[in-house]
Amino acid sequence: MRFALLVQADPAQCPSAISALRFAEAVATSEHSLVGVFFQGDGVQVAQQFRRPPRDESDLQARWAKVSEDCTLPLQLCVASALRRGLVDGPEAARAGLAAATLAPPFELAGLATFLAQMQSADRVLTFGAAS
Amino acid sequence: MKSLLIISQSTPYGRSSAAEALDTAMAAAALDVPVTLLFDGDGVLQLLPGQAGSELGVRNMSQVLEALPAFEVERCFVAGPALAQRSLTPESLALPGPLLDGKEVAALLRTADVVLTY
Repeated sequence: MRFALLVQADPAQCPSAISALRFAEAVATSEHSLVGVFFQGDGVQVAQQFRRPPRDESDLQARWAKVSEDCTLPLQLCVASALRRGLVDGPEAARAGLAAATLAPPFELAGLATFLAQMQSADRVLTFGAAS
Repeated sequence: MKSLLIISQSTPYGRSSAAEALDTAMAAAALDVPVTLLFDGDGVLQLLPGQAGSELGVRNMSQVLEALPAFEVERCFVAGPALAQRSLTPESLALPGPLLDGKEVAALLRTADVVLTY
């Protein structure tokens, strides 16, 4: 089965951010596959390259990067959600005259159209939501 | 083309979820994805009239809601039970579409290919 994931959960606040990662890791070692992982809302925070999680907590960003590498899968952030949270890539930082890019590779900025296309080609779409 | 049901169940200004639900609905409509928007739970508070979001320095949600038909998001519903739970009446809200009872909400969930909650 082909899965598309939508991650809305803030990695610093919501356990579902870890659930999303664990689900993706499980898919990566199964006969199933991922068509895409899209981060929206506070979910984009996992891509902030200056994140410093405490040493006794798992580094979600590094684990996502490994999933991306193992599955040759892009990790895409909703550009509107990312920009309003200060997550910019190199070109965007240059355009806005900012001192540095804040987005960690391999995460990249993308439009909602990207997610909607992933939704169309997946067998199942799973949402990992924000705590209410 | 898979159909999409977006459930908007967050307060209008408590966090960014309500705005993200509308962004996603408008993007889907622009790409000709058959999209339905359901206001449920605290999401019905987005429908209260007289909002002044711009005084908070954020987007005024009621103006965005009014613009939905212009963005071709035409299928909008409101979960009736969520109104009663908050002592709201249909007359006290600017309803973007018909009220559904619990059974009709369940039917909507069954017929959608993909459901996203915000």
